[in-house]
Amino acid sequence: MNLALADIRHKLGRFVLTCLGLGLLMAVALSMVGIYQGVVSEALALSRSLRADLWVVESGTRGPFAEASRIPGDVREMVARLPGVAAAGAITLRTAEAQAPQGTIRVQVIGYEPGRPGGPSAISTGRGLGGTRFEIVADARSGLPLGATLLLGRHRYQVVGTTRGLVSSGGDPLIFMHLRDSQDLQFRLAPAAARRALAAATGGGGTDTVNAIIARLHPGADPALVAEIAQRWKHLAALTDRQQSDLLTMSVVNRARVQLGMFTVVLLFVSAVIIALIIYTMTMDKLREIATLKLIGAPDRTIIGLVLQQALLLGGMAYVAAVAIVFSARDVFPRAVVLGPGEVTAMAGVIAVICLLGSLVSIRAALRIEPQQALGG
Amino acid sequence: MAVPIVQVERLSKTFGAGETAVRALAEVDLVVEAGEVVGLKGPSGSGKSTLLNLIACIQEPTGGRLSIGGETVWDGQWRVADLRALRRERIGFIFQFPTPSTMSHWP
Ligand SMILES: Nc1ncnc2c1ncn2[C@@H]1O[C@H](COP(=O)(O)OP(=O)(O)O)[C@@H](O)[C@H]1O
Ligand SMILES: [Mg+2]
Repeated sequence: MNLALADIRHKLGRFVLTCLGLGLLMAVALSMVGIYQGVVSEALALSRSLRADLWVVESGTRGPFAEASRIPGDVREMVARLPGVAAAGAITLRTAEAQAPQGTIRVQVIGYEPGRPGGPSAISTGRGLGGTRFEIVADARSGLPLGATLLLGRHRYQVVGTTRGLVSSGGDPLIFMHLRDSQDLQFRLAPAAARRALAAATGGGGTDTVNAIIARLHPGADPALVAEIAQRWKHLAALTDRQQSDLLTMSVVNRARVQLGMFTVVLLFVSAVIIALIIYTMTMDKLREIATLKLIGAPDRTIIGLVLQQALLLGGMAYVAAVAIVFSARDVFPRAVVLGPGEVTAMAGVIAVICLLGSLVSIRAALRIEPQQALGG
Repeated sequence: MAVPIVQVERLSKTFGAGETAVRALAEVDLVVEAGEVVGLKGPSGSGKSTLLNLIACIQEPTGGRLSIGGETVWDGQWRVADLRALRRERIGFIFQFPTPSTMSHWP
């Protein structure tokens, strides 16, 4: 029987506990990687689902996610007529607190015109919005089942369909409704405020305001070129989908991303130190055995093999435990924990490297042990 | 006549140097023939363990000459390149204080 295995079998309980403890630590590190990825992928979830090639927003802004943007609703027709544009849709965006059957929930409300770009790309249960008003399609994250009603502002809306994985950059579930409904909700002021606005003539009276126009282009049309044409209207700015995605990851969620990224690095570093210490203690526990091995003439490679095999076995078992823990617990997290095969494989590589580096110190120490240390008298 | 298994000639061992030097062995001679069983006795601190450690090539002598199986192992310096291989192939050990940790669980 292999020396490393025989030694582990001798102290099996302790080894298993060490693996579990290390597995928990690695699970935390792996979750952090997943949370980091989750923040990025959620920031892009909406813009990906909309499949827009071009975003037309208020001039001087980089909206509608990074900055507030307001443009008249009739801009949609102008955009639709631009050369290269296949379809255009007006959307509104607004975060709101709503009364759901289970309590107050925070949602991001998207208004769009069914049949035009702006709606969810896939419905997971129920149907998309129909002709009648006061209907909504809600993301599963809101916890709203089909048929439930949601109180938003002064109206009740009924859930006719649900989506999966559509959230705002802050992680709030998306609620899709008719553009008209969302404009009423967003731009129509409460009666008292409306009277004041009228008296002060600050505008805000017209309710055909939207936050952005999204356009899908004909295949072969150049988004940058169409964006340039759209910019010629002085009150408009345009972003390609590429620019919008960069803006979302580099600006909107940048702080959260960097914060999580740095913490992940710190966590990996701490894990590396702990793994190295555990391997070192494991080796020093066998001081006498290693001295005896040298005494009876075992070559250095036997001793190096013993330390290395145990380190890799420890790392491997802990890694398997970590993956099992993370994948069974990730649905409990309130925000997405995104781990693809790439991240899981990379983590295995990182742990293998950490184990190897951790073993180096132990191997150096083990090779310095004198054979006399095996003798008691 | 066959060569002795162990031949020890004027073997000495001094621990440390200067004022604190301890002369554990002073010019010991011993010959062990194949098949012989030899016992070593003496009061505590008389150098029994030290002599065995020298014969087993675990510690280095400070004087004299040590041969194993007719081959000179030490005569002022080691004459064997790989001591561990020598121990592995030609020397067996029975421990004075076997502890549960000392190999008992290793095959
Ligand atoms: N590593 C050492 N360093 C210094 N002195 C030692 C060492 N090992 C043994 N001695 C000394 O050498 C002498 C002989 O010791 P030892 O061979 O252990 O005797 P025994 O086994 O017969 O009791 C003792 O005086 C002991 O103190
Ligand atoms: Mg002794």
